[in-house]
Amino acid sequence: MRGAVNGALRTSPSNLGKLRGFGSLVRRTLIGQWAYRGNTLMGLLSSSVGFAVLLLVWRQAEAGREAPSVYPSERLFAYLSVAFILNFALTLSVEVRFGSRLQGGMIAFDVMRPLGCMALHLAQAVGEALGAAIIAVPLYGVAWVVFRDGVLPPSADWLALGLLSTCLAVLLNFAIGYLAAQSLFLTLHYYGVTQSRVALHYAFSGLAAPLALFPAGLHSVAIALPFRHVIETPVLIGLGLVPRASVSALLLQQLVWAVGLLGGALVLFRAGFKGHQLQGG
Amino acid sequence: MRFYLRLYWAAILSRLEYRLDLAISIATALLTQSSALAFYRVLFSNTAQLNGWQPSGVLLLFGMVALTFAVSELFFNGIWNLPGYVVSGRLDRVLVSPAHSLVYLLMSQPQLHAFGNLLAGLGMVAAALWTLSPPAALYWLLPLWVLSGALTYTGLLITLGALGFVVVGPRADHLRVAIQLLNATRYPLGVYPPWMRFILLLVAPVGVGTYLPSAWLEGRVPLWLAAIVPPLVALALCACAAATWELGLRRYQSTGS
Repeated sequence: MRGAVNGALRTSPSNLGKLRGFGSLVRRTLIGQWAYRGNTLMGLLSSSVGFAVLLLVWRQAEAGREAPSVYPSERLFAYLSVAFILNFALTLSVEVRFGSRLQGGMIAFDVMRPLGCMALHLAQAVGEALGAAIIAVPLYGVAWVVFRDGVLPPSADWLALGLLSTCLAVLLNFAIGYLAAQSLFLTLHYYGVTQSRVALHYAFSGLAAPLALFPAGLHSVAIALPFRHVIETPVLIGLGLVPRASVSALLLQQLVWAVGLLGGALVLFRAGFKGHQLQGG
Repeated sequence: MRFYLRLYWAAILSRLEYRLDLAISIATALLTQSSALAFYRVLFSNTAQLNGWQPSGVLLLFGMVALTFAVSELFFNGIWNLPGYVVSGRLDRVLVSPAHSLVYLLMSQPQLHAFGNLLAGLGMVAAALWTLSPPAALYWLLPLWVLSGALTYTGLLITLGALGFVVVGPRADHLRVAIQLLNATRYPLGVYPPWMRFILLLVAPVGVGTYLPSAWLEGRVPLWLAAIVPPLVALALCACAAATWELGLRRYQSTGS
């Protein structure tokens, strides 16, 4: 009997089993998030204040503009609205979760799980994004009431491509967060790590303005970084604001960035965990 | 007073023990302010002025807001820990200490990223003043306005924070509303519709610390008004915050652990 139990413990689950485990973790995270819905709604309230300020400032800037813009006002505001909603759905707490588990020694349990540490954290991030997406749907409804066709994909295939790009954006945003979280093997200052990532995200993701409105220097920096593929790329694709011919290249860039950063995070995790001393509880 | 200064100094020294954290904190704050400046750059690459304001005038507001954050985070940051204290029951320890619970909580948790905001704020204010060449009185009044702004912002944080006694939860997301409102004052208030100005000047008056000084610079209000009103508003909001704190404490239920 004991041998059978040990054997069962030694056997790693099938791919289907791993997938079920992943799905189960996503579901548990979703349920757990619901428990803190008050906090989530307060977070939404504060983000909405920031978004209202952004819109009002842009409205004034548009009024003072002398030359015509590559983004007419109506399109700019529709873009900013969808970008805000997407950003709300993609706000992940990867570093905070990883940091607290590292600090408490719980990381040891994460690496022993059949799914592995990275997949565990990815499942939690997906659950988190799904929870926020549920709240984002009525927000999108409000944006539709205001902007009508401006926030709708031009056709069903643009919608499908937009959704695919959004899924890749979730993966990429997780990859960025998980890579940043590896620095927590050196410092437990996860506020600093999170805020630094958020600052870069705010500046270069296209959340506050589409990259076409950036001055040359900042535009070059934004193009060279992965953050634009978290917000701007899925919004542009979803709203059909890019030529159809360039969509596949954009999706490929999202995928390459995500896989590359996840690979980098995996290498750093192995190196960090090797030198890490667990606290004994 | 000496007790509070000792308490504060001990808290600062304990934070300074972690050198890497200090470096990360300063870098984080500088990065956050740079991110805001990146948007400022994007904005003014698309328009020459904002509601009649030149870029240097808006830069002065950016700098004043950064300094306001810095002063509040450096001296009165502890309110951010209140939700955690209530959930874990650690507030009991604060309540039985001989110090005033609110002052103790505020002063015992200084945040070192304030130094980064201080550096960035001073840099932005210096750059703006270089271009603006304002009247000499501004140099004397700027510290008063920043301190008034910081007290007003802290008062708003405490008032919102007292909600943590009613809606118990481990996170401080509701306090972020105050951050967003203070961030809104980086721009001239004329940008906003009347209801938003009403909020920023009367309901949550974080806009007073920048609005009146800027109105004085534009010649729309006399100097005495710009000099007196921000500190008075700050004191009024601090009194209101203290009263809200006491009301909230009556609702506090210890975890017993």
